[in-house]
Amino acid sequence: MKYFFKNNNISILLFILVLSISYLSFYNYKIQNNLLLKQMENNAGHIASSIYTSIKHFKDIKSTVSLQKLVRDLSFGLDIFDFRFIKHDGVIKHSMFKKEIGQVSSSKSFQEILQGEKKLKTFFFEERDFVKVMAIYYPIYRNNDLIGIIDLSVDIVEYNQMPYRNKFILEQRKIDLLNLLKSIEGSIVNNLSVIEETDTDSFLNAHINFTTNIEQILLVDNNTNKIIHSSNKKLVATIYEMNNSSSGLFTIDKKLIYKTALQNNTNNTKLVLLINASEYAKNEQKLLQTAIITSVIALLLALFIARGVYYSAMKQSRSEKKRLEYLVKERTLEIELLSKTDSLTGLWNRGYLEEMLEMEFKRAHRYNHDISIMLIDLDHFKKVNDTYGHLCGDDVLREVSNRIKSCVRDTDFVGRYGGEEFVVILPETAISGCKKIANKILKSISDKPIKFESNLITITTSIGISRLKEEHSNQKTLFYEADLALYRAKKEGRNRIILFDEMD
Amino acid sequence: MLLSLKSFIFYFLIGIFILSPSIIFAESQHIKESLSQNQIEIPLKQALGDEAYTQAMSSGQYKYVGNSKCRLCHREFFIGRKHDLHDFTMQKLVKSKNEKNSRCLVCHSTGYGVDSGFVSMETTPRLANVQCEGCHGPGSLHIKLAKEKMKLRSNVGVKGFLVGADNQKRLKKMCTSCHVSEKNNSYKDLQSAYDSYRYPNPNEKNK
Repeated sequence: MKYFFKNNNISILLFILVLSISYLSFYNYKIQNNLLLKQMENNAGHIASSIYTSIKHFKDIKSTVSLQKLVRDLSFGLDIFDFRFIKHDGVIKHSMFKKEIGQVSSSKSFQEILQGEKKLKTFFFEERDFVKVMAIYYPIYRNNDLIGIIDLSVDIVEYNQMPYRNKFILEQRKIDLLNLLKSIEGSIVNNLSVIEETDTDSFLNAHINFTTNIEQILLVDNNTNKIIHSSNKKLVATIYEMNNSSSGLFTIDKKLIYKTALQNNTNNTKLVLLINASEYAKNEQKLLQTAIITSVIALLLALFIARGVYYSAMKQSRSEKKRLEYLVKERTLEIELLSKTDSLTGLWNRGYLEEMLEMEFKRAHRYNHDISIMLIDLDHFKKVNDTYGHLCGDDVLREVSNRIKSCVRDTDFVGRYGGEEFVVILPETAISGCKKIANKILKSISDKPIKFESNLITITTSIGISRLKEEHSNQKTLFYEADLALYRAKKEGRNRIILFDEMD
Repeated sequence: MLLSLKSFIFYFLIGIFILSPSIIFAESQHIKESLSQNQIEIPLKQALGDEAYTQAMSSGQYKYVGNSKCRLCHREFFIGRKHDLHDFTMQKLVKSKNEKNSRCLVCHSTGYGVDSGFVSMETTPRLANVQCEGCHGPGSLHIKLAKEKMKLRSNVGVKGFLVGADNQKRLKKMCTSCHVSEKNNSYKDLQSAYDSYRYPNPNEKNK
């Protein structure tokens, strides 16, 4: 388990991150959704209570609230010259002047309106009661039906007095009047639904027609659970009886409906409001979509990050591997070299030399090529060691090996065979060429004394040379012959070259 | 033809020039007379007397409102008075170019010289001419009382005027404060004139 965590810590972190973001977004969705529901509940409650009070005071409202009162209040409060509410057939329903009510409007301008010669909703100037006024006919619609026309006019004495100076005032007046008319329109439309409807059922109907999202309003008896009053749409009425819980969301006839119930304990009735909750459903869906999108984005982001981390890790490991490989290669080369060379002089060691000699011998023997070898031995080297010490001996050996190296060609192998003995293998070299090189070596060593600290040490060498012949079966005989020649050189007084071929 | 038209205009102008002094004199005779007199007392003040006037004005209950407000309840009077000469007093002043003369405005407007009364045609055009309030005094209290009565569904016996129909003595005094023989030659029988003003249109003899 521990191992698992150690190896997948980034992916686990990312996973936790995605989980937490998703959780947060869904939590947010839940809260918002609850808010929406609560808002709807509140609104429904307000509507229900207002309807309830309307029903409760139905008769009172009918008798007291009237457009006539509205007209009277308006006319005293504002400088309005004329205010009439005329039904579409021309009968004056309400007026500032009580005597006019019930009469058919005989005004010339109204006749023009009826005949379509004058436009509705536009201001015009006219003389009324011997006073020049600005008037407007404003239609009132409810559910696209013309229910009446407001005839409004204002006294414009200031404008008549100074038309140019007060033009702005006139325009201002027009705007004010239009605003006033709009508010009057609202109150008329609202009030008419209360005033004009005669019984509770039709009042409920009117209320539903006036609002957009209320499906049905029911007034239910608490004890018998029977509907006392209801608006027109009966589709929900039966369903209601099945679901008698207080409030909540239902689907009825493929419609999402929110139901709210308002209890009234005084007359033991219940007002049930069924509201079309399609708007809520839409909003809820939107919220859910947002939450899902958020979590998906988080997931994608996490995947992306994981991918990036994986790539960078891969890259790093690859470069590390390369570096290690290079190191190993170098190290092996070093070790190889160490195993082949002599540590003191840097020349090939005996083992490698023997290997090389065998190889070269075999090749030369097969192709019938020349090969010569040289055995070099320092004369009286023991004396040097004894007089100047081993350090000096080492130095001398190093110097000698350098001098030998400088005399031979690149293709020749120079090795230390042991002690003060050196071997040079010269492949593809005839005995004459070998002799030349041997002379060169002999001279280079004996000509210059070797310097050690303050001492100058003069040293000579003896060299034995042999070459490959057809009768040689292996390299050992070749070597043996060179050794014999060296032995002869030592015997003949040192500091010379002896060829095995020239021996008798 | 052209020459004759030109000469006609020429002689016409000369004629006017010769006749003009007598025309101007005839018009300004009455005006000159009235202008030579002292400043006339505000009619309302005359009718009420100094003490009652100051008391009423300082109470703050009385303000001029203009006849368009009176029209809301007394529409027939509003229409009827449009035919009465009282509704043309300002027009007369404008004709004789005295519309800014305070001596004339005292009688030719509604409430000139009183707070919230007529000031000038520019600022208070709604109080031009001698309107309802010109004789009855400021109407704001009357309207207030009328509204209260209306709430009780009866508008019988609404009062609230300084110079109301219930105080005929004051009302007649109001008439005579402007209608003096020297200022208005046509004014002779006060009682019959007073009676005719009980009807919306006093010039229509429809008793």
